[in-house]
Amino acid sequence: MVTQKMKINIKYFARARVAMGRGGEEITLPPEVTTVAALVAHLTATSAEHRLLFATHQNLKFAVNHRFAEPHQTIDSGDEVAIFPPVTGG
Amino acid sequence: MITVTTEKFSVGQEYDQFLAELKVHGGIAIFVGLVRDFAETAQGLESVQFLEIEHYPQMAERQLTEIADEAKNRFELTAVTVIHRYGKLAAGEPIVLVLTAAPHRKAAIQGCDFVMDWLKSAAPFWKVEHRSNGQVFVDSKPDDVNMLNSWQKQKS
Repeated sequence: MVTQKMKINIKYFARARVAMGRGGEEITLPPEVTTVAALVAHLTATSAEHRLLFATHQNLKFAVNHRFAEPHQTIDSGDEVAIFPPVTGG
Repeated sequence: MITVTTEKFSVGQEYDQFLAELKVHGGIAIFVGLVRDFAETAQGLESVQFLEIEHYPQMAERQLTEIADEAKNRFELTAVTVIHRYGKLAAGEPIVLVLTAAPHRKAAIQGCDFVMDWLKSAAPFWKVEHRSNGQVFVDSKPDDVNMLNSWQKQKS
């Protein structure tokens, strides 16, 4: 059986977009990264940019496939994970 | 109906259309949010020239639809329209419109208020204020979360 690589699309909005200098990217994850919390831990461990983002932006929110997601929410290959500060519409 | 657009809307036209499609008549509540021409900062009031609203398109539509549906069920509204704009908006321009219809006044007004409270904390829009001395992202207000908690308490 061929092990499928897990790829997800990350999107950044507002202050998170400005901090990252881009609106999003596709990233490949090791198979053990299966939740939002694990994704944050993985990015923090492997990318200085993300480490800085999470260290300097408290209270970031996450959405998986266009729905707000808690840290324990599972993620799967092909998912769209968005990272953004609290919303300020209306 | 849910609309997310850069286009300026006419409250009169939207109201007329909303009314024309209503099947049960009673009361209609309207809320119109406008771009504030000032910002309250630690240094006092600062004038705002324009707002830039960023949004997450697919999620914004989905969230607004869910919020409108929830309001409809909870307050037994007969119709809900929400329009939210994004892009560049000059001070004084309308940003958001909520129209709710119900057989009775209270439900219409409460439904309208509910949609606005939820929208402010759950619809993915972010404002940047362009002030005379630069541009800043608007911070979310703890009040918005408190408002949601009060709706949740009322429900139980």
